[in-house]
Amino acid sequence: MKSTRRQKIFSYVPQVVMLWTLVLFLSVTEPAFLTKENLSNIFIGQVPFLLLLSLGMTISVIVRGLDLSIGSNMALSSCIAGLVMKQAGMLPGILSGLLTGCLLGMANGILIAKVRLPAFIATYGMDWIGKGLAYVLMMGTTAYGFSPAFRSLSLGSTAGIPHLLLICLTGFAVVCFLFSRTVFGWKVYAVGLNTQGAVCSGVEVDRILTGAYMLNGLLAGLTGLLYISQLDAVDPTIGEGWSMKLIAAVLIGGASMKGGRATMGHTLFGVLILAILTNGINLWGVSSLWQQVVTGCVILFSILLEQSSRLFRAYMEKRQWEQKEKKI
Amino acid sequence: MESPQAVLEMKGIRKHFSENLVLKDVDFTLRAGEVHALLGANGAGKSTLMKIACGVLPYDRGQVYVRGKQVQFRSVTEARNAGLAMIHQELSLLKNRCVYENIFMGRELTKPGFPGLLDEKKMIEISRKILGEMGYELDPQRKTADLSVAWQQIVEIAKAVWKKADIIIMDEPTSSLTKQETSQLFQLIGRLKGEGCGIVYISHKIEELFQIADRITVLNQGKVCLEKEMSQVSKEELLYAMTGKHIYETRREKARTGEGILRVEGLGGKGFHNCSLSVRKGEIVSITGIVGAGRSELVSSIFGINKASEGKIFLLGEEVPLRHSPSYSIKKKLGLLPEDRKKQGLIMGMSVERNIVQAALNLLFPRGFISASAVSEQAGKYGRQALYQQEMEKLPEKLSGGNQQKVVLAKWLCTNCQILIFDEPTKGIDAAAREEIYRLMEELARQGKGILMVSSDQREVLQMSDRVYVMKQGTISRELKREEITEEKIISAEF
Repeated sequence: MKSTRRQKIFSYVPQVVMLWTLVLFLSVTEPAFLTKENLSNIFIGQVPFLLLLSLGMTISVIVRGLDLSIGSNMALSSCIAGLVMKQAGMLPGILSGLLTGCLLGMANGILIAKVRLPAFIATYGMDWIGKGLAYVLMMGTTAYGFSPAFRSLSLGSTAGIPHLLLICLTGFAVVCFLFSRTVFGWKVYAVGLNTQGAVCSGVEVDRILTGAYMLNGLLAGLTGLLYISQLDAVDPTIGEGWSMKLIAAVLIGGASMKGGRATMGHTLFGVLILAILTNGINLWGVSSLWQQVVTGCVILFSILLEQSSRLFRAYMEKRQWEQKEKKI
Repeated sequence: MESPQAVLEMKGIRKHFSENLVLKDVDFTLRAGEVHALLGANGAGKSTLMKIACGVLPYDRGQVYVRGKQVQFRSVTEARNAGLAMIHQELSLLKNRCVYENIFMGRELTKPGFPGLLDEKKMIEISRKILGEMGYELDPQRKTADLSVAWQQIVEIAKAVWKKADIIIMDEPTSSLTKQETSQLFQLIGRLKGEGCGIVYISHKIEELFQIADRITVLNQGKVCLEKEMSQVSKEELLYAMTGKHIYETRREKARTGEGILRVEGLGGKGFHNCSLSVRKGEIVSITGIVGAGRSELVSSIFGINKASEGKIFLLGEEVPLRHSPSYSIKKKLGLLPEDRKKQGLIMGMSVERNIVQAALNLLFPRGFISASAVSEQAGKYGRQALYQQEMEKLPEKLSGGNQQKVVLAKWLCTNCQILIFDEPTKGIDAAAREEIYRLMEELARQGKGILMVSSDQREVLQMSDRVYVMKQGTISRELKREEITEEKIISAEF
């Protein structure tokens, strides 16, 4: 019992060290970093969206996939939600947004589980479709000026806590619960670790995969809603460029692409590191072009860190075995 | 090095896979111009030994000499350059390429003066010459995929000949050949022998060995237990060496059997056809046969991993749709302990505890929410029942084969399955754990569960079974009642 708990905690060491160094370095070198405006910019302007979408990406990584359609899904569901909201009111708008996200995710899931397309290809195609539909939908029409109630989703706060933060933390907690304490979550991990083994244990792999991608889509739909609530308008371009950022967050969190090994907790750290890093680079006044180079370096660095710790563990085990063998 | 004409010599080879010692200080010598047969039950270590010889696997201890010189191959390429070639059971040709491209794979000829430009004409010409010298007329420009397995094998051998290999290892070369193709292969082997090649010949077919081999080495559980001139051994002697010192006469007590709980009628699918069998409550029924007879294919179709195409399956008296899934079988109280524990039986990377409850999640938590305490309680209970005594938090990849099997068994006990299929239950498991698994199986039968066991281990079949089905070439060739089960009868039905 103790040993696995210790292992779990140890697996966070590289991420904690990276985050801590980053924060320490920034607060010393940049007086602007620890100001209230800057922190709220990070934790309300960046983290909620990044976190919710990264959770979806983590789910697809757990089942040995990759979801390149998350950004488009968010754009399309927010466009549909905005249009419906202007016609029929807030509740139908919200529901239609979530439903669109879910359906797009389901389409991904069916393509991957039933048609057996590689996740990369299925979601890449879906990325184009979602993006295209969003543009087609918004041709010659717009939606802006939403009701105050809807806008308070992103702008308001309860007991001093901004709603945006509240929603994303609730989302995080729910997803964590789903993956650690429900039959569905355990089956998703089983499928990710060993699909064949899961089948032989009676896991309905097709259904679980589809469910996982639907949840992923639902998260994208939710984020889309929050986004247009903050923007107060619908914009089909909001989905651009997200996928790579999300993969970056998941990788910096230390997830392995091998499946079944990513956790929501690691992704949280990945999101925090990525958001603060981006913020820091802006504060330093480094051009946004260099920002990409730095992000790439951090991704590679965190993966190297992860791998070297794994190699170290393997080396220790081998030595143990050799010593045992010598005794014989 | 005592005999000068030894081309390949292996001394004191030791090898372990995780915690299993699969080769225990094995000596092996191959002389020039001889066919040396390597015989042993499944898992005795034949293939492992040969993979070590040609650099596919590393070894823990021991020395390998090629033509008297000590070598330590780090890759297949190094071994190949030293004149070793292995022809694997599953051929390694590129199917979409022509014959000559396969022969020259990795050593393509280029036009003189133009490195990088392939000299296809010359390659085709040489290919035709090599094949011709071997006595075959085959167009080198044909697609490999269009050739029969026998011809593909000939291409593999041509590849070895072109590389001037003088140590050729053949791993069950005749497993998918017809009689005529086999005799063709034997002619070729004879010719290679005449040219001074040493040939290691791995096969299960004992009759074949008497035809082709000069000398034989028998492995049993990682040890050499017989090495002799082929002309000086009898079939009985070989079987005795293969199966070990003890011929098990002590058998479990006659079971008290109840009504039938599994019945299969005329089942057919990929790799098997027209199979009928039944299992009653409290009975242990074995399916035996040589590798490739279709045993695993049959039972995995009953469980629903592969889909059967014809026939009927009845579980607990109810007919099951043919294209059912494992999750359906589990609901109907049928469980399977697969041969490949690492890929199918367990989920590596997931704790033992979670593995044990994996198949019973829906049963234990019908509302979908998991309680950690219920999980440890259930896993502990069934783990104990299956004699699993290690930590529950361990990952299965750190366990020995025996403990892994106990975890798989605990998983099925947790689902309360009434019919259990054991596919090679003791493969890769040490002797002590083996006895425990047998005890558990007997205990389960006594509780009234029905057990269907697939096994290649003669001893285990003789010791455990109430009835035996022998499979041969994809169908059940014989059913042996309790009184009729003898080693001779099983073997004569197998071959």
